Amino acid sequence: MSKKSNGLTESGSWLPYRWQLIGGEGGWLGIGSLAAAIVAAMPLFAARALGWTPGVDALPVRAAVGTLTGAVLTGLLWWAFSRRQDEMFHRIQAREYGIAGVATAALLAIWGVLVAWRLAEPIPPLAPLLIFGFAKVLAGLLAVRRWL
Amino acid sequence: MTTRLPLLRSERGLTQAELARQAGVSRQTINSIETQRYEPSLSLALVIARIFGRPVEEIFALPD
Repeated sequence: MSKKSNGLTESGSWLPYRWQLIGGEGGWLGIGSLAAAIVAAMPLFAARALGWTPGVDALPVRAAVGTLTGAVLTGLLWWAFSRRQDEMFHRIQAREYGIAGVATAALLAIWGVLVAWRLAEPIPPLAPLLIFGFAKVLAGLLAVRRWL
Repeated sequence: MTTRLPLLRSERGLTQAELARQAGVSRQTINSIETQRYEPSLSLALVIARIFGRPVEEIFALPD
C-alpha cells in the first residue's frame, strides 16, 4: 500500500460505531444485547416513578439487582456478538462496547453497595457516562495493543 | 492457533492487501492473522480456505 496507515483509522476503531453490523453475522446477538439494555434500564425508570432521585437517594435494592442483571446479560450478548466479527476492527469496536458496558455495570454495582451502606455519596447522574467513556477508551487501547 | 497463511499467500504471489480485498477484510486483519495475534472467525477461516482452494485445517491448526 502506498499510503501508510496507522491501523487505528483504516476501517477503524475510532470511527463511529458501524451499526450495520447488527444486520450481519450473529446479528440476533447484537439485537438481543440492545433489547437487554433497554430492559435493564426499566427498573431505573420504575424507581424514578416511585420517587427515587438520581444523585440524591440510594437506588432501591430490587431496582439495582434488576438493572445489574440486565447489564450483565447485555454485556455477555455483546461479547458473543463481537467474537463473530470477521473484520478485526469491527471486533475491536464491538469488544470496546461490551467490556465498557460490563465494567461500568460492575463499578456502579460496587458504588451502589457502598451507597447502601452509607460509605459513599449517591451516584451522580453523569457518572455512568463518564465511567463508560473511560472504560471504552481503555478497552479499545487494550484490544488494539493485543491484535494490531 | 498456528497458520500457514504467509507461506500459502507467498506461493500464490498474493500481497496481504490483495488477499484482504478478496476476503472482504482489511489488510491489518490479514497481517494480524499471519502474525498469530488475531484468530479469525470460523466464517473468515472458511472464506480464506475457499480462496486458496484448500481444506481449512491445512491453513489453520491448533498448536501441538
